[in-house]
Amino acid sequence: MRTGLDIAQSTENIIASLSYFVPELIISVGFLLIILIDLFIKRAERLVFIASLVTLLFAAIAYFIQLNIIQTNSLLLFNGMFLHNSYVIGFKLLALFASLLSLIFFNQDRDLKNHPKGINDFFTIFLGGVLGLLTLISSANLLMLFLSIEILSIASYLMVSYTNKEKLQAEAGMKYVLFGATASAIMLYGLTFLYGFSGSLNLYNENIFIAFEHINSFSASLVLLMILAGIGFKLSFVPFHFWTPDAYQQAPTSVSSFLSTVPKIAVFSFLFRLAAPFQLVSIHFSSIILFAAGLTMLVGNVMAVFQKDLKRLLAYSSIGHTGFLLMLLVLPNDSIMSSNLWFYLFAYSITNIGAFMSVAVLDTNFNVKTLEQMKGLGKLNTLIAPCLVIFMVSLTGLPPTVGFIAKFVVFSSLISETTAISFLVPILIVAVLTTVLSLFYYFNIPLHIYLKKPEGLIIKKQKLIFLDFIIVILAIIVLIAGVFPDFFKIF
Amino acid sequence: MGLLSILIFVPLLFALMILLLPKKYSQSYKYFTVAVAVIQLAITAYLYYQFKTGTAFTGVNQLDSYQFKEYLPWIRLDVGKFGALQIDYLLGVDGFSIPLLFLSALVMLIAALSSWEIKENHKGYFSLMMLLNTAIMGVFCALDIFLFYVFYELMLLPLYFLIGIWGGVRREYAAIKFFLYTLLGSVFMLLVIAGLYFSVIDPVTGNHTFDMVHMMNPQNYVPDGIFSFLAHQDILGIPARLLGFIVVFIAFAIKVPIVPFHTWLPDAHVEAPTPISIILAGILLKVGGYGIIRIAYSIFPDVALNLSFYIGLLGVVSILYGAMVALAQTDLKRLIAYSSVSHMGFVLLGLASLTSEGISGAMMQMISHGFLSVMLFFIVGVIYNRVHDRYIYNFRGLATHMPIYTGFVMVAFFASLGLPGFSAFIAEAFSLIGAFNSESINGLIPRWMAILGSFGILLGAAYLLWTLQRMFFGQLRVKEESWLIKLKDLNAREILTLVPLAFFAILLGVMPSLVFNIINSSVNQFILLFT
Repeated sequence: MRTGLDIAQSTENIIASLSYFVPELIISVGFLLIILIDLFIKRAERLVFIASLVTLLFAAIAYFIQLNIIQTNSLLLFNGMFLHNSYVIGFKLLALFASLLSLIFFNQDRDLKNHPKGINDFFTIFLGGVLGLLTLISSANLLMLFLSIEILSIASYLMVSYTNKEKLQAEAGMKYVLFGATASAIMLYGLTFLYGFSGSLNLYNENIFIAFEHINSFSASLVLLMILAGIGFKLSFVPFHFWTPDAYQQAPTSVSSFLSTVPKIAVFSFLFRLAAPFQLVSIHFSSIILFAAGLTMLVGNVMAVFQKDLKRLLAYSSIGHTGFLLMLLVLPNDSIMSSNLWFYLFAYSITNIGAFMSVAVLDTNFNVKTLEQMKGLGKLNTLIAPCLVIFMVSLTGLPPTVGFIAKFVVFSSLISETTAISFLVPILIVAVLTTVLSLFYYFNIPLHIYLKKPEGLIIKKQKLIFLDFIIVILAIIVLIAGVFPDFFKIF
Repeated sequence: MGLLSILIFVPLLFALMILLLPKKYSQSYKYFTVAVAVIQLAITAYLYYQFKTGTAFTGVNQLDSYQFKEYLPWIRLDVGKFGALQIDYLLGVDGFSIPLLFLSALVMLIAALSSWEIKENHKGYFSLMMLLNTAIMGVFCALDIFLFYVFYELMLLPLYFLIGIWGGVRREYAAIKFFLYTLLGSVFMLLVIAGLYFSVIDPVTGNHTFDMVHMMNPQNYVPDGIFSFLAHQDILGIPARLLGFIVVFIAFAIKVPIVPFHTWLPDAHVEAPTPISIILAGILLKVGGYGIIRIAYSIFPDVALNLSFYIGLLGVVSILYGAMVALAQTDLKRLIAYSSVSHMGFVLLGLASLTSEGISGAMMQMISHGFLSVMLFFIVGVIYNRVHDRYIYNFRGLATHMPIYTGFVMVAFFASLGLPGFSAFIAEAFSLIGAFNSESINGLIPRWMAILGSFGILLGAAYLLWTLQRMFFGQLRVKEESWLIKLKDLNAREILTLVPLAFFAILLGVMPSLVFNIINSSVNQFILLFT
């Protein structure tokens, strides 16, 4: 308990912890700097973008240095607020990498750039969100967890509604906020129970979960469900997914791309870290997770089949992938499994961001929003269309792409546990069937691009922009990581 | 870098070259494709010539006796308590794969030569075809089951686009149906592959391995592995090994295709452009047969032995059902597509007998059907390119109008219906002998299956001869007057394409030993798995 600590000791701990906290400090400084730049310098779009880019790069470099000098054992920082080990840093680096890609994407997004308010505020909000992400990944305390999730959520609400003009956009933004607020409230309620039963907020206090041995399993499961509600909202697993398609469709494409990847990296890494202790809270944890996984895969993939709008389609596809990843949570939590989770998230992130970027470029050049409008695009655009096909192949999980390796790694991690965990076999069968189903809608895109004849497409002048370059690079990474995945494992 | 790697990656190299060349050279792409196929044919012919036989070169479950082996460590990924995923780039050939490699190279050459009909988007077409070529060669060479799977799936993507972009009217439907069917089988197979990996260890290093040759030896299984011979684990109340066999068998049965998993085939064949139909019939169906032999049968011999009756039954049903449906077709390409179902049934029947004759017959049938179905589809392509119609009743009396063409048609038809002197006769005879003797040798399949199977030959004769009579004999009459000018006889390129096929069909009919000698030691080793 905290009261046992004297002030001097606690101050010492804080000062000692500061050196481990440099990357987060860099981001905080960057965040403040951008506000100042925006206030005092006129027409500072380019400067703000560069400042944000540099901030993220510096933070990434700081993490790289930390990763290289880290000791094997974990550290608790700031009197047990944060966890510091290689696992945490690995995921932070991945989240930063995906954020960097998102930042470049934001800067190229027509909707954001042409907005009357300007894009500078947006970058400020974004950096705030990234800070929330990073603290979420390392949080070791229930309060820190809640704070981080809230920082992230508020940033996301603002980002989704940033360009609100129409009724539909407002509706999507509102849905998102209301859902999010309710989910957070439920989670907070769950966290109070956790505190009430155990008397501690520190997730790495031995007593916190052991206390649940004496609680009957129904209330324990209820507590767990409540906490999962808040987390499930961020991951958009069924039944907390209703906001996802609307928000993704109405938000600027770059924001959808950010929301579908980066928060998932953070939340999954946190949830996976706590999966083992949560199993102590309720013996039903595995069953709940597997049930949610199966349901999420089914809903995500089945609904995706019926989508006509590209962003809605990708939204449901991301729900499907969440379900697939949830299955990993039932596995014993060791460094190898973390590394598998990392790899899957890496594969999913680069593929998904690439797919969203391609959609955005096609939208800019040809005003394409739905599958129907994509007819015959392959003849008009010979650079991005093939890349989009590669991303679709990777999302389906076919060789020779990184998506296949990731899928195979998950399958092989699970198959060896089939006898140990009940319900795993039927869920695996669901996973296989939904994979086949996913082929159907992912390949709707190549089908429309290449197999259908164009009808009345307005050919606009295409400018090669920086984003094209990034897309091609991502597509190449997807292929190379599909053939030589060894190069892409950082821990 | 060995010959097998060159065989696999030469087309990929050319695919990149085609992609990088500017569009104005698009007329030269087809010559590249032909050049690649000629190089590959030369390599496979050399390999075939150099291939050694005898007890020291049996292959199957003896890793040391595979030939032209290549080994490179490839992927090392940690997956939990069983340690690293150890995936190797392991290639090698034995008696089962070497004839199919040669067949593939020849069929690719024919497909390249018949690609003259492709009129649009040459760059895409030829680079996809090269990619497909790489995948096909890889499938027959891979000895690591993961590598095999990568090549196996890699075949689907180019085929989807080749059927979907350059195909006929219902091409979108046919392409996605083909893709979905195959993927349904193969994703379940992926689970079995993962399960096998955790059940098998490399006897030398003690690590888990994807090497399929190690998977064929019961002593390499860990005692508590899910597919262990001894542990008798259950999945959903079904013995794990039984389930594993069924999953893998269905995955490949879809590819063969075996009734009732065949419904993608008529659609895909009919809608695909001629060169792709040729590759589908000539090679892709054999990948199914090869997979059943190499993976389903060799890795799960105990289960295969117990299920022989049902597998034989599926074979007989395919033979009869395919033939009877073919009899009812009025589209020439559909007819030939169904005849493929019927002929591939013999492969299954021969295999199910697990006798030396039956398995040799099955292998022979795969090779013979490779040549003959390619010939048949090319023949359909000849008419279709000229008048864009395949309806049987729109043609009559072509024999006098196109005599050389009719000559080749007769060779192809008579060879396909199993006339002595042609390869199909040897193949079907051996399959049936195997099936007939099975009752007295090992008692696996009853005699009536062989008898019913031979009715398939009779039905085959019926639909082929009837078609010959309807289209080529009698008074010359076609649907439109203008067709008569379009229906020119074969040109030099087409004759050049058909001659080697007819030559091989006759050669193997007269000297089947050319194949039997090569496969014999592997077949004998294969049978030892089941004792």
